[in-house]
Amino acid sequence: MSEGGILTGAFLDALQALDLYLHQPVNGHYSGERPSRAYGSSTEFADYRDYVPGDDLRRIDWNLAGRFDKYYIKRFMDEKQARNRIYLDGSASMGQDGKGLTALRLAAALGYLSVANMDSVSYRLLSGSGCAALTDHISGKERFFQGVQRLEKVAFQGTVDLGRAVPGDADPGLGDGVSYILSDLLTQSDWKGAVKELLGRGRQVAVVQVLSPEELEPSVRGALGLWDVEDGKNRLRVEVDRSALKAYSQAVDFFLQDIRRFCAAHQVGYMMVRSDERVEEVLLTKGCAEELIR
Amino acid sequence: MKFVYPAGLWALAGVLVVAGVYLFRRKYEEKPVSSVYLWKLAQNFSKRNSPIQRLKRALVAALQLLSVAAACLMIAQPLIPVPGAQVHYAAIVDASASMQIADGQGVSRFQRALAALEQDVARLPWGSSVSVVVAGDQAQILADHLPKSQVGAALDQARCGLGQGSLEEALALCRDLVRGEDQACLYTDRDYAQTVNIQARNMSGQQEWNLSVLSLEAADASQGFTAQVVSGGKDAVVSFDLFVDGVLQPASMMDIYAGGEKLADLTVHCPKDQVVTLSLTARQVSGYAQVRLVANVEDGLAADNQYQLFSAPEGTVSTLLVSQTPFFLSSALSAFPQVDLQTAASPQDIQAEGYDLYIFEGCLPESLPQDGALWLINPPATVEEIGLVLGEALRGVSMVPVEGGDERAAALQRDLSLDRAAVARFREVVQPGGLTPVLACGQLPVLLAGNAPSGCALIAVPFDLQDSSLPLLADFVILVRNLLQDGVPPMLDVQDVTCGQALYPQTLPLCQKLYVQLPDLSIRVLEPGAALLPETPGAYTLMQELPGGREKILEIYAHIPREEGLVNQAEAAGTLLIPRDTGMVQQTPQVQFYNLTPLLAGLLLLLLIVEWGMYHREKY
Repeated sequence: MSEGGILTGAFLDALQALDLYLHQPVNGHYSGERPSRAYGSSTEFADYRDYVPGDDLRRIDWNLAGRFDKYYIKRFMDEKQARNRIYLDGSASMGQDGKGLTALRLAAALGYLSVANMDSVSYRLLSGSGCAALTDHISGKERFFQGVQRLEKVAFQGTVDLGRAVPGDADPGLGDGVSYILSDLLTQSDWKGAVKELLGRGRQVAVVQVLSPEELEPSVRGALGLWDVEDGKNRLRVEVDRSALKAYSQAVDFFLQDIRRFCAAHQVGYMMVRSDERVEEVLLTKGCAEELIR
Repeated sequence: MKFVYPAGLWALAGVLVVAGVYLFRRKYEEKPVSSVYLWKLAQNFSKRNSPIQRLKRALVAALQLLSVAAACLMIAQPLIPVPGAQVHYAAIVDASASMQIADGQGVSRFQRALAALEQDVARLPWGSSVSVVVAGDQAQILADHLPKSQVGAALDQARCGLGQGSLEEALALCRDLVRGEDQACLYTDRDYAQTVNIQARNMSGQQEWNLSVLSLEAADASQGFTAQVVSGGKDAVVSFDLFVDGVLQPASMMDIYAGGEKLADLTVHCPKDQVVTLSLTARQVSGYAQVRLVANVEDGLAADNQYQLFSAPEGTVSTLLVSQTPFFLSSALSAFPQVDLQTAASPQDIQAEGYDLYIFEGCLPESLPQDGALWLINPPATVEEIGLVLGEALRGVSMVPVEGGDERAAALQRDLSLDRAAVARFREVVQPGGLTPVLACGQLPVLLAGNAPSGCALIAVPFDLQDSSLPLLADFVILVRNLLQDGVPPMLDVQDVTCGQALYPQTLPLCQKLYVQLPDLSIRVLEPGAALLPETPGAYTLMQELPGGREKILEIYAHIPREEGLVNQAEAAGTLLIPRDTGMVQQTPQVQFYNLTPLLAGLLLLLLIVEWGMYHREKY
């Protein structure tokens, strides 16, 4: 357990009662606690089939046998391990105004919730057009904390093309868990296309957007020459006055509503987190409300 | 438009400075942000590039430029003409003695007139100008086309006189002040039946009362006096005091008659607006130098509550007549009370000096006196001192005045008819010695006039009065009168002196200096030819300083003009008008200007408030 870093004891205590919410069965190879489409040996009843000589007699539903004078075998659902992947936007904009720490704490929280519920998690760092694996699939808390140390060393720099970086993951998975994308989405890259591609691979997708208060409600005033920290060449001259702030507010509302509509239309989980909010409270409130957490 | 300080327009360069700031200032502050994505997206929602927004930005800049321009113009103080609204108002204020009559509250007509004038000026349109003429003892222009706001200060200098006023002179002054459709008004204390280009306002009050002593004259040689008094405005019982040479005369020692009725004392009932004649006889007075009648009242005008009389108003003419037959001349001279006659039989019997007039009849002194006028009647021989050469005796005819003479000759001939005047025998004037003929028998002079070497008047009569019918005629007294006025002219040729009346004292040729003592006992020197203008009622003493320590003194009493003491002034006869030249060219009215500085100050304040409001609204 990392003390004083992105995870604290109090933080972990707050996560104990939570679990990730998966709204679709998991197709996996490893046993776990997530419902699977295959039949297995869990205690959750799935279906009946006719008795075939050689079947285990303990599986015969004697109630049906008494009623229908025929033998049926109970089939139970299989439980598999979800193999969650967390894609972390490593661009320079994520390192501004406390967004980086919030994103890392969210990533750590989501990862902990995965391993705490017998799932596995792997971290991917998105940078430029590529996707670098920060960790392998981690199972178990001990290995998880080892992986968190690598998270703490993440440096947010440069730009990222979400539309190309996410699909660039060599092992994106196939219907076996949740793919979390942690980004501010302040990009013109086709992140929606990346989400669709993940959905096409049977993955459950959740978008966690991290924005700073300054990005939501700028406090700057006057005639400004703004330049992007990701790309110094990307400049914009604005005269920030009352009308400009009003237009900016309209733009923010449009931006967020566009993301929400897309996510709702594609059954993608979505949560927007301010960098000045406490992550444990966000997970309890927004996370549950948006059905990312339960 | 014109400017009070045109140099202030150089401050308009500040407009260029403001424009330069807008054009060349570094507008944008560099600031890094996490992403310009949302800012770019906001531009789609911004109306910044709409024409209205561009106009708003330009409007703030325009407001700042206008503010600078307004401030610059305030420095220059622009003036714009305001034609048409303003008028020119000409006012004449009567400043005669009657305007000082006060009502029961102590407010004089003059004060009432000034207050009315101020009120009338206040009602004039903005930008109007006012001219004020005060018709006092002398007409004075108090204000000449002054802005109406400055008239009050000018009226503080107005003073009312105690004379008759100078209305005609004031109207003449207005002739140069008034043009075209200018308004004019006379503030006076009487009504005018007819007015032409000026209106008249009567400033008389309701509760005015004035007791006026109109005159005081000597009824006989020593004891009797006649006075006229009038109570204007109401019936009054008035007590008087009579002082003779400064001594109050008790009523018990006087005979007092008022309107023919004997009174026990000098308490007289004066009916309203009726002249009462008082006859006073001071029984214990045998002679006097001056008499003063005083009314004991507190009325509207105190200046006419007394009158003074002098026994010898015309001054004394000391005369020396040297003749063995002085009868004719002494008889004629006795008709003139101012003549103090001294006679002698021959020049050796008396020292001929210190007289105003020397008459030598049938004789000549060893040397002619140098300190007085000279009459040489029937001189026995040629008078070499004056170049007069007389020839043989001739038979005379009727005496006639010499025609074509100068003013002096005309004055000597004044009122002479000479119908039966004739000279039986006279001596021919061979050489006149610079003397001018005044009377003649035929073509030969029988009375010549000139000046002695001393400058004093000189009269030569080359015949014996007993050889002429002239001394038996009334013309002789008239001639003596004319000769007296020529030789020893009275200091003043007026008998009745009023306040405000310009007096020109005549001095003798030997006068070294002329003084006047005023009623306040101060003494002033009068330059030759200068006028004496009595401003206040009272006794004035004129004194000529002559050689040898001699003096000639004349005491006069200046009083309020008779009609000025009357409360109810009669309606003026004739037409009141300001004289105008025929064919006078109408001049364009003066254009007044309005200073825009206060308006610009208000505009500047408004611009600053609007600009601040727009800036504040846009920034916050």
